[in-house]
Order: sequence, then structure tokens, then C-alpha cells
Amino acid sequence: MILGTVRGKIIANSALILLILSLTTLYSGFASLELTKSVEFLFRSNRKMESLRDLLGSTEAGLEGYLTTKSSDSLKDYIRFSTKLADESRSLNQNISQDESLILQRDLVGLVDSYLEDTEASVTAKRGRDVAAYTARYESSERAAELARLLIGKIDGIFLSNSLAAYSGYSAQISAVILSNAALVVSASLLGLMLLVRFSYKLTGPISSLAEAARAVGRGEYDSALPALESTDEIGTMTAAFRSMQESVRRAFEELKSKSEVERRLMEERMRVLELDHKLKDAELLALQTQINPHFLFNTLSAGMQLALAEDADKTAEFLDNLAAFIRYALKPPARSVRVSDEIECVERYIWLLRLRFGERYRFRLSVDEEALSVETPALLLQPLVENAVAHGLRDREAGGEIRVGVRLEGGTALLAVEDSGKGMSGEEIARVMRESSGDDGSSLGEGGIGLHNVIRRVSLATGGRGRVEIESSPGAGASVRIYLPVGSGS
Amino acid sequence: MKRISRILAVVFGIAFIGATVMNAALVGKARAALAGAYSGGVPSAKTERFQLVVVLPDTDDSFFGGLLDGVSQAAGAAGAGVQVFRYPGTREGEADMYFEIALRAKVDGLIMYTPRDGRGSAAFRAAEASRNGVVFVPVGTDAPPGEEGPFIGSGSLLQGMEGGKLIGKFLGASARVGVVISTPEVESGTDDPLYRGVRMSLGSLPGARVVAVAATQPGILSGEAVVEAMLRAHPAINAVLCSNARDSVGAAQVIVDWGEVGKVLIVGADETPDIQRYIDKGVIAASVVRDSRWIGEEAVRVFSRLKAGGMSPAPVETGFLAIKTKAGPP
Repeated sequence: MILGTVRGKIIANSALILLILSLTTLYSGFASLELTKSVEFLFRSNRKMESLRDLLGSTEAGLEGYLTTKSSDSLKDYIRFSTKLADESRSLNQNISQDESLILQRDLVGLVDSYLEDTEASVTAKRGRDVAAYTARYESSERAAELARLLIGKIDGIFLSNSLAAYSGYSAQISAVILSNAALVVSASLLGLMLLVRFSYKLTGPISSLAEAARAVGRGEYDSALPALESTDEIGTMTAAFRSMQESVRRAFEELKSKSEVERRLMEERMRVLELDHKLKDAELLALQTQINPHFLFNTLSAGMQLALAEDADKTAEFLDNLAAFIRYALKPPARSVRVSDEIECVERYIWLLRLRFGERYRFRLSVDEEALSVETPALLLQPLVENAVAHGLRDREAGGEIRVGVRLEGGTALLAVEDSGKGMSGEEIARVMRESSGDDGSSLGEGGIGLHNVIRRVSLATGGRGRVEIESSPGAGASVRIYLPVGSGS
Repeated sequence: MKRISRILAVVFGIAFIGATVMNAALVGKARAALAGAYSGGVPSAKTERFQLVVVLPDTDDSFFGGLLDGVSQAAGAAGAGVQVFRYPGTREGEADMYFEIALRAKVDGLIMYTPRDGRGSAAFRAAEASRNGVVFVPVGTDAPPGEEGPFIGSGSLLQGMEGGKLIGKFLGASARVGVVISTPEVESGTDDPLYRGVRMSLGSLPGARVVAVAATQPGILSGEAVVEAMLRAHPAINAVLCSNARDSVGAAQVIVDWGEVGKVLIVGADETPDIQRYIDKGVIAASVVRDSRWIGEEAVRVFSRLKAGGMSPAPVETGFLAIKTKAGPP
């Protein structure tokens, strides 16, 4: 259907406006033409009277001609004109009415009849050669003709008066007609203009909305609302297509966003794994930093022990044996999992070595729950803590220092504790150690912090965050470091 | 803007339709006005059974206006359409012309004013009309003397008697009366029936008498001139009797101009607004009103009887409708 298209609508609307203007013009012209033609009515009655007057004169002339010359031509003229006169007079009003012009017409009909009676009688008398009679009837006819002319004049006057009155009314109406014509043309033009404006709004409104929506999409606003459009024309189709496209883009965007979120989370997970890996490597590196060439060391220590045996230096041989065992244990990969009993054995060897060094300067006490010995634990947790207690907690104490190492089970958790009676740590120091141990690296660790930091991180890494380390201390009151390991958490 | 354009479209649409309807109505009205002129009157005018022609002088005498009213009033009941021909009062030849037209046009009836000095015209016209099958009814004030046949009128003798009675009532034996008649064709004023009627009434009052009689000519100022001349010639006159409204108003103006109101009694004739105004002011003491309306009505009734084949009646004296007067003598 062509009206369902924009082109069709433009054509239809233009045709409507043109039709209004054309009809207005045609109507105005037709009305003016009709009015002009109507003026002819004004004088139609007068023309009729003039015709009667002429016929009367012609009849008289014919009659006179015949009466004076008796010519047949004159008689024919008389007959022709008198017949016409009779016919013409019969077309006048013959009813009795109160209207002056109508009743005068009736009088005129009677007078014409009277005139024609006289003329007929005159002709008849002429044919009969009755001179006196035709003369008398001729004179009578002349009198009748004179009276008829008088009435024609009166009727003419009335018609003219009526025509003038009608023309006055007509003129008054014509002014109003011209004004109303102008009003008609102006209102038709304004109506056409308003229809044009209305149509342009109707046509361009959806396009503007569509353009605005396109701009919004350009700005990334995929949710901008489009006006509801019922039309099925090209604009309607475009709007529907745009709406569909907008929906598709919005859906694709949301899918992309969702996918991006998943990827982000995956990336974060990877980063976390990498971080864990990095931290593990850091710990391993830190552990390696404490290692020396084990083969060289072991060989040297074995050689030393052989030498001591050869020289009967049993104490030295025992020293070297314990040292070698301790170093062997310490230099194994730190990420390995061992039993608590292994840790206790390592600590005992280390204490033996310390006693050899410090004599009775410090007291060492071990409290071990047998049930906890089989629990798996990351290697080298207790020894660094003992070393820290000696190196930092008791360093400034010449005698009377005490270090207690305890292992026991508490529910599903193994508790490994190292306590000393040393100088202790302030709250700020404890917080700093704990904060830095949970950070990315231990570069800012202070004196003695490396061992503790290493222990805390390895506990966290080996137990997947389920194990924890607690430090309880205050300046001058010693320190207690407790490691809580979930049972079965060994690596 | 969109809303405004919608409102304006509706407004201009209504204006357009209104202008079209108005234009069509005006064009139709203009054409109807022209079409009315073409038809020469009212095409749908009611048609009547009889055509009745009335021929009257075209003067300012209210007598004829009343007469025509009476004819028009009665014509409806008689089923007659009235056609009026009026001629200048001084050109009675035109009356004959209209008479002839009526006869040649073969109208049904003809009511024609016939003056007292018709010189036998009424009888002649009646015979002519009868020969052409037209009913002829003469009307007037006084029947032409010596003629028979129908005549509908109101006699001046009776008018003079009524006027004389009024003057006698107001002035008694001291009445000195000037009589103004409107029949200059009367060779002697004393032959005028109005004058004779006044004298008959004053005859019963010893001492009261008619001092002067004068006739007016046609023309609106004739009465005033005649009354002024009469009063100058006869200062003893204390009452003026007039035969028609025009002369009565002229006499009243003279009395007012002379400052003689209350000193000269005026008894006028007929009933017009001017007469009534002077009566209300006390300038004219009374007016003897000829019942011309009744004359007209009676003429139509006579026409109907004759048309129906009735016998020709004797002259009919319609008398006087009323005498207008102020409550008491001036």
C-alpha cells in the first residue's frame, strides 16, 4: 500500500493541501462567476417588458400598414407580431394577487387581449370594407395600446425599483461575500500551512528520536528509550531495526562484560597463584641462603670426626657428629614435610650444640606430648625459633636465661611452642613482624626477623592458610611463639 | 510547537468550514435577492378570487387613508385582491384612464372616489362598468346630487351639524363662527352642505351665527392662509369650523401664532396624530371624525353583494365614527 510509505504519506498530505487550496479557489471563482451571471436576472424582467413594447409597436405598424395599404406583407407582419404579442403576454402573471407588479401584469394581459380584439375587429372590418367600423376599432386599439404602454411603463418602473432594491441588497451582500471569500482563502491557506507543519512534525519526529537514540548509542548509552511507533512505513521499519540492533548491541555488550569479569577473576586467581608461587620461591631462596655446600661441609665434618676419633678426642667427635646431623637436617629442602619427632630431634641436637657453646649460661626445657610426635609438620620450624630466642631474646643475658620448647595436641590442632625468658618484644614489634610476614616480601625485616618471618610464611604456605603463628610477648617479660598446625597439614 | 500547531490546525479548520458555510449562505442570499427582483415580486403571493380595483386621489387627506384601510380590511373576507390606482387630486383625467384600464382588463370590481361635483360621472361610469361586466361602487363624502345607484359616503351636512352642535355647546349664543370649506368648485359658500349643517345647528341658539365662510384650495398651506385671512377680515370670529384635517391643523397654527389659543375655538375634522396633538394641547377643542374606514369596508360589502347578483342599493350614509374632544371647553 503506497500510503504505508513515507513517499506515499508525503504525496497524500501534499495532495490534501493542494485539494483544499484548489477547491477553495474553484469554489471562490465559481461563486463569483455565478454572482456575476446572476446580475443578468436584474434586467430580465425589464427585457421582457421591452420585448412586449416592441411587439406592440410592431403589431401596430403591421396593422397600420395593412389598414392604409391593405398589403398582404403588412397583414403577414401584423399576424406574426400579434401572435407573438399574444404568446408573450400569456407568459405574464394572470393570477389575482395582492402584489402590485403581479396584478399589474394581469391587467396588462387584459389590455393586450382588449387591444388584440380591437385589432382583429379592425382587420375584419377592413376586409368587409366597413370604413367606419375599422376606423373606430383602430382608434380603440390605439387607446388600448396607449394604456398597455402605460402599464408596461408602470411594471417596468416597479421592476426597475425592485431591481435597484435587489441590487442594493446584492451590493451589501457582495461586500460580505468578498470579505468571506478573503476569509475563506486566508483560512484555507492557514489550514494548509498548519497541516504542513503538523505533517512535518509527524514525519520528522520519529527521525529526530532515532537520531537522538543513535547519538546516545554513540555515547555508549545502549538503554536510551525509543518512542513507540505504530507506523509500518520506512521510518517504522528503521526504528524497529534500530531497536533490534540496540538490543543486540546491549546483549553483546553485557555478554562481553560478563566474559571480561570472568577473565578478570581468572586473572586474579592466576595472580594469586603466581603470588603464592613467588612467595614459596622466596621462602625457598631464603632457606637456600642459609645453606652452604652440603657435600663439602659433610665431608669436612666427617673428616673432623675421624680425626677426633683418631686423636681420642671423644667430645670433639661427638660435637662433630651432632653438628653434621644438624646440618644435614637443616640443609634438606625446607618445603618438605617431616614428623614432629624429627623436629624435636633436630632441636635437641641444636640445644646440645648450644650447651657446648654457652655451657650452663642458659637452661633448655623440652615438653613433648607423645601423641603429637607423629603429626606432620613443615621442617625447620622449631630450630629457627630457638635460635631467635638465643640470638635476640637472651643475647644480653649472661646467665639465668631459659628456653622452653613444647609440643602437644589441642583437639585437632598440634601446638608447637618456643618460649624464652629474654628481653621480649614490644607490641609494635610483634605487629610489624606479623604484618611484614603477611606481605609480599621480607625485605624490610629487621634484625632477627628473618627466621621468624620465614617460619610464619612457611606455616601459612604449607597449611594453605589454615595454620597460624601467634606471638605473645612484652618488653622484659620474655616471648612466646606458638605455632598451631591442623593435624594432617604436612606438605 | 507541536501542540500549538495541532490547536491552530483545528482552529483554522473550523474557520475554513465556517467561512465556506458563511460564503455559501451569503452567495445564496445575494442570488435570492436578485431572483426576487426577476420574479417581479413575491411569486408565492396568495391568489384571490376577485380582482378589486380602487381608484383614489393621491392627497394628504386622511380620509382616503382610512378609506383604503377599510377596503383592504374587508377585501380579505370578500376573497378579493386589491389593486390601487392613485392620481393627483388636480388631474381627474387620470382617474378616467384608470377607470378605462380596469374595464379593458376586465377586473371584477371597481371602487372609485367620486366627488360631489362629479357632474354625472358616477352614473356614466356605473353604466360603462356594467356594460363591461365590472361591478362599480362609487365612494366619497357627499353623493353627487340627483344621481341614483350605490354610493357609500359620509355627508358634509351631517358633519356641519355635528360641528355646529359642538360650537353651540362650548360658546352658546355668543358663537361667531367662521366656516372653512374645501370645495372651491361650489359657486357660493352658502351652498356648501357643511356650511348649511352648521347653520342648522346654530339655528336653535338665538344670537349665535356664522360670520364668514371661505373655501381652501388644494395644497398643504391653503388652510392656514384662508383661516388667517378670514380672521383678519372678521375679528369677531370666536370659533372656526374646518372640513378636513389639513385645514384644521392650518387653523390651529394660526391661532398659536397669533397667541389666540383659548380665545378662538377650533372644531376640526378627521383623526390624525397632528389633530390629536393639538387637542391634547387644548388648541383644537374637538374634531368631527368622518368614518372613512367604514366607508371602505361598506364599499367592499356592496361589491360582494352586487357580484353575487344582488340588487343595486341606494346611497349609504355611514355617519361619523367619533368626536374627539378635550374634557371641557377651552
